[in-house]
Amino acid sequence: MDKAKTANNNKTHAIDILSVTKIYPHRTHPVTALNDISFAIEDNEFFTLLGPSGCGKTTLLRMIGGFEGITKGQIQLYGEDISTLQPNQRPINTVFQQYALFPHLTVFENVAFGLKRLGRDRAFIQKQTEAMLELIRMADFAHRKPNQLSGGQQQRVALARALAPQPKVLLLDEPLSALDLKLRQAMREELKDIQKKTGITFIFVTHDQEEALTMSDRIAVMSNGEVQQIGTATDIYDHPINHFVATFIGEANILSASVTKINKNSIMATLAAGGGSVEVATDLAMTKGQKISLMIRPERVKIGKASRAKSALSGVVQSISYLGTDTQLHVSLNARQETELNTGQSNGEIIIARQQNHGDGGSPFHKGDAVSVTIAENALRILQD
Amino acid sequence: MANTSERIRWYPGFREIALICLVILYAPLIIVMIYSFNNSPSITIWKGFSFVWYEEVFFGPESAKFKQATVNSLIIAVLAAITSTTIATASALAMIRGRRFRGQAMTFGLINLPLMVPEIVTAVATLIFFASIGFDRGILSILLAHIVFCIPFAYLPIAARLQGIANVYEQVARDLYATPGQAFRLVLLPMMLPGILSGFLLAFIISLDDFIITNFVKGAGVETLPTAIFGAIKQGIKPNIMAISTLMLAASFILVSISYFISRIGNHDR
Amino acid sequence: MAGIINQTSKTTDGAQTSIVDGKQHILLLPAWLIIGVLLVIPVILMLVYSFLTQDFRGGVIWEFSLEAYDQFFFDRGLFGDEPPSIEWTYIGIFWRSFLQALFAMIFCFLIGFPTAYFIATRAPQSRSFWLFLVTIPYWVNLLIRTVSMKFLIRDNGPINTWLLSGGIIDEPISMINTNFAIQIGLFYSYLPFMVLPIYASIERYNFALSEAAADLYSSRWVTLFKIVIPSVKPGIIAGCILVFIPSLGAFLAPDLLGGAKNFMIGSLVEEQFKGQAGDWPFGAAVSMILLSIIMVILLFYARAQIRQNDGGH
Repeated sequence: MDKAKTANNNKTHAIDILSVTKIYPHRTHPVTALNDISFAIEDNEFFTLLGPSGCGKTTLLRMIGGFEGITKGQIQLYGEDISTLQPNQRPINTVFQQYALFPHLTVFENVAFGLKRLGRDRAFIQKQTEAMLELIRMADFAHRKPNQLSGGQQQRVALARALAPQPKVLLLDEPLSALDLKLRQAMREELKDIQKKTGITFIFVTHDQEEALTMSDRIAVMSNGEVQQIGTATDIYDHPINHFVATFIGEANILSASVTKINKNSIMATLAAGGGSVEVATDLAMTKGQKISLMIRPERVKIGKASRAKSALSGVVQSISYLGTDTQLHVSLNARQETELNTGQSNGEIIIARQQNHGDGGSPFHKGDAVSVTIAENALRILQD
Repeated sequence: MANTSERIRWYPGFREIALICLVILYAPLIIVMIYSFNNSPSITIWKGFSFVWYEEVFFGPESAKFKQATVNSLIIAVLAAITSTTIATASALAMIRGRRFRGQAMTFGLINLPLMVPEIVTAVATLIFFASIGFDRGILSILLAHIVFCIPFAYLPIAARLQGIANVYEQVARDLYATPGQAFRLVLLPMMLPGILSGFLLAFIISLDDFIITNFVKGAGVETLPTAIFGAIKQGIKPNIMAISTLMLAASFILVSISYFISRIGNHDR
Repeated sequence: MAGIINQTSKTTDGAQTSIVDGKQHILLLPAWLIIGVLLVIPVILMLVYSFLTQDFRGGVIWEFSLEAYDQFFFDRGLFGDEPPSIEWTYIGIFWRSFLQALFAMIFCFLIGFPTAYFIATRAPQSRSFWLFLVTIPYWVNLLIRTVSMKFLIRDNGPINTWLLSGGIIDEPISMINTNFAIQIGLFYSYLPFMVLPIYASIERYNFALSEAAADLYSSRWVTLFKIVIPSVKPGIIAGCILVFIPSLGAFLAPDLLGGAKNFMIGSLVEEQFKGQAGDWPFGAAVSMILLSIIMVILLFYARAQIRQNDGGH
């Protein structure tokens, strides 16, 4: 009863991950690779699993492809349980990290491999394979062997091979990681483009945040076998829900604070280091006096000449790094004597600020300068742990 | 830089010892080869170049005996190599591609057991076995004994090859709708082929070369080439033996060269 | 829902899927059967035979007897009237075989190690050519190689003929049918067995270690003995075992080169089955003793390897 209802509701999802757990059995140290994960991937979506190595993202991808067993839970494809199906019984194809083109077959034979196994008729195989080679601009290489191709070309053939059977879902396991930087950037565009053209749901695994942010419709950030947050690139960068997401994606300043006042859609809080009262928008339930962590991105921290204005924080420049487009400053926040919170915090926290360079000789500040620190309006976020 | 590291690796005398090593390995074989063309019934005095002993091998009074022995040897070697290569391929798949199982280390030991037991002991044990069950000693008993000791020789190159093939290839095949059987036949087997061929050739040579075990388990009157040669030597080294030896040398050389180039080609396409 | 999940977990949990899943035992069955029936059972049967009574027409009488071992170890017999004393004939043959194998191993190492080292330090192209040259004799029929050696060192063989005609010696040096001839034969037979595993080890050796040692003021030879040899020890031990074990049970070299009076274990065994003596239980007992010695050596080797693997990683 319960199950039927779930299935109905999920009809439009491409993939449903339902309470999936993966434990690698071991006599003394069984390893939990995935801990009770549930989420859905929409039809025609470019969905990315992002996380550090060992977070379980590849394990999850391999479970969807049918290469790893499921300890507990269920995976559904358009509402149907595929957990027990063999890889060759799933209308899902994979682009593997190592490409793994069959060395004894030509490019054409590689791309046609899946169609032949599906028993498609010869005319269709010919047409579809040629179309795929056209799609990846490799038609001229149809009769080469894989060892005569460059890394980027092999990568594209692996993609065509996986797309040729027109799978319902395409899995991509860090397919760009073996390519050099320039090629990788070009391939991002191409992959995104191909996904749009084919309308196939892509599930993309990467540990590269830039890749994830630029390509994905939605991203699931994973760590320690759990999904930390799912959302669009801007959701995840601008509104990270916890410490892990905030620090894994981009750079983040984490400031401890305590709640002083609760408003309707916001709270007032005092920073532990440097003092100063800030307003933070939130719809979370808070209590007065609660200790919280606040996050702010370095580019939202403004550094100015030291001022006497009461509202601004102040500090001393500890180091300056020139990064080309930006200059990054590490500023140690001064403790403020008049706040009651500063006891034991007198050496202050470090806050990182980034200023865009304008080609006029870098930052006007020097190491040891006393500066004021201003936090942009609406830039602080409350982290849930 | 390269010169310095060359100098650090270099040891005086090592090149000379290596050359001596080659001389030791080849001198007796080359001398036998040379003397096989000696136009003289005496085997030590050089009387000019001739094919007389090769004629003797192919058309002389003993030629029928050696021909029969060669045929026996070839039949046994081909069958032993085919059987042991098949068994070794199946075993390598289970040992390297399968999940771990109880007794895996023991199975590995069992496959390599024929390499560890001295040949003379294997010969004795096999003879006793055939005698005690009343098994007729002849071609079949030789073949069975050969299959046993050919298995590890075929296994080694096949297993080495299989270990060098990442298992992602079968996964790709399975992902592209191949059944396990198709994944093996269409992807893994062609990729393993160099290893299987070189395993086959090694097993073939090993079977062709065996003397001790064959000598024990062969029945009266059944000869393979090595036992026939051994029997002939017992009556003294005659020049026709050197001609046969030279022919066998050439055969070994050709087979090893083929096996060597197959494995090199195999390594290139990865 | 829970029921479905449990069902799922039963069928798909575990390691990654593999194309041989569930077929492993079928795939291994032929190897188990062939080697089990044609080698393991025969060895057990050989052990049984060594405790049976000799039948003088060859073969055995199925009656328990310690006669074979008694004959091997004791002179007047353990069960005779007079006090037994040790029989040295057979122990002597074992001892001589042991020494022959030991010396063959040492000589093979002395020539084989520098050769392997030299090959491993060649440029890749000439390296594979050298390796090819060393491998060829390994695959040439052992009988033919032994016969070639016999031909070479005979009293009227090429060596003596040349030396005589060159006026270097007045009468042939008698090399054939001596312990020296056996030693040459063993050395020659098993030299490639020493070179190949040592080569494999040196090829994997990181020569930056040698450079680091040189940088830290160690001389060429100190580097060789303190750094290179300890690093490639597994290959050296493998090579030594591969030479020692077949040398110990060798038949062809002692039989063809050693002549009638220089018996080794191989000839002793052969004589019991192929020769006139025809004492099968005794032959089985000698084989059993040889096998036991070799198994002990291999056991020590395996233990040392396991220790090394545990310590190494």
